[in-house]
Amino acid sequence: MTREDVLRCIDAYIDGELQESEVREVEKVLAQDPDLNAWVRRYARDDATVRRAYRQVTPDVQALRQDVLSRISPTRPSVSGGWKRFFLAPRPSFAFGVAGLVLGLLATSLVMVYRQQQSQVTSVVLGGIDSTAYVADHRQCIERIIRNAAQGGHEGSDPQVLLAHFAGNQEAMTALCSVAERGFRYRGSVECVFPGGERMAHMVYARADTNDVVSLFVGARNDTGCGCGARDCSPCPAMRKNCSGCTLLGGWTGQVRIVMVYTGSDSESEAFYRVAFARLREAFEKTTVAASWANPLNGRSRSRETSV
Amino acid sequence: MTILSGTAARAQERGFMAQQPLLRAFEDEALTHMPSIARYAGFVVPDAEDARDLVQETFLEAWRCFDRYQPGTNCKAWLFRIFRNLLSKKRRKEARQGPTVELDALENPDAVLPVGESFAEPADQLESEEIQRALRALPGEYRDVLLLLLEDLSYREIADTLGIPAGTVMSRIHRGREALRHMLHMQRSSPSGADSAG
Repeated sequence: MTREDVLRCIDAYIDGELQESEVREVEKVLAQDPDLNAWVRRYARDDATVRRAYRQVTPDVQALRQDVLSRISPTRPSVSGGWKRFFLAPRPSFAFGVAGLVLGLLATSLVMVYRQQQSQVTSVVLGGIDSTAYVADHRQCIERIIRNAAQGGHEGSDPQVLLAHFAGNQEAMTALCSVAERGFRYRGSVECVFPGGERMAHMVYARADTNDVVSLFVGARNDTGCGCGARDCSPCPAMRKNCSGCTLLGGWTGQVRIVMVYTGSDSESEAFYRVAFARLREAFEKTTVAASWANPLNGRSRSRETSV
Repeated sequence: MTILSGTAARAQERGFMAQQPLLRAFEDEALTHMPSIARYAGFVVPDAEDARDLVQETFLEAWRCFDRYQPGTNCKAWLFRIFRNLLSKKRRKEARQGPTVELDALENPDAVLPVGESFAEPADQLESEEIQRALRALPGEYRDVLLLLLEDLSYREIADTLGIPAGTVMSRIHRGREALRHMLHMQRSSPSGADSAG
């Protein structure tokens, strides 16, 4: 590859659209040409600035969302002659109905209390931006980054590969690192391996001034192939190239979930991990989780089995 | 007065119950992208009220055909495709009714950026509003691809959303970035051969 070739594919390079082999070729040329290297870095930095400026536009869609929901939520069908049916209905159904109503009210109140507790931790994310939307916003980017890592012949679950990519050393990280650009600096990442075979990457971002912490958890089930039925659906990333049915996350296949948890300075509190596990559990519909991990902020190792 | 038979009533009730998981999936998969669609709409539709209506219409349309959405595929890209279809329809309708001033004005950078205004600062010192203004002022074909790129769509997804070849996406991205840099006076000494890029 020549310097002209590099200039020709510079956009694809900074947008993470090149194959791993092409990236290596580009970086080989850049390593030999400091001027070109500096220019490419400025080019990527300018792009990151534009991206950051664009992302600062955060329209308030709460009212619109409610509006849409109110128009699409199915209303309970009105049945003509309902009273007649009510009186004609057999009594046992009525008894079941009342019991169901009471149980429903009880369950709803419990869920509301639980959600209220959760929202105290999770809703105060990034200056009022809805955390769900934020994670959804970044999911594609995260998946693409780890998928690129996998194309290099590594498993995306390799902590060294994850570290290199999550550490912001790759140009493709600019979008993901916008969380850091909002004042939350990247502090480290660690991979948790669950006894059941699930894996979870934990990326920690912290604000230097307040020491507030944002954690991004990427979880995946360690399946073999996604079961989409495609001929080349395989645990091998290289063989999965043409499989459109797979949900890929590097070497992680099958179900992939990403959750984000915000907390104040007390990042090691029980509540912090309880919320993280609860969110992942909710995502994977499991009842108990156990994990061991090292806190990247201080390197201490911990392990815990948690029922949530 | 029609009285539904017990079977029909139960079937209707089952239909209602069956919609609940679908609605929840719609909230999880689609509605979470509303801020992105609204942001994009704010950049490509000059009138705020029109933009809001289009976003609303996009999600109502998405709900209507949500059974056709394939879980595991990029829902955001799917929503952008719906939005772009509705936008095209709207523009065609407006074209039949007569030319609109706002869209044409936005195609002309000078109409938005005052002549002589200096953007000589390095990119990282530029005010966000200036960059946002420049993005709005980009010619439509460049703005469309760049904004979708800023929304983290891949080249392939952008091509599918806009209905153009992937090669065209690549060249428009490059030219769009150049146009943006030019508008912001972010031109820096490029290494020899830079002109041949793209």
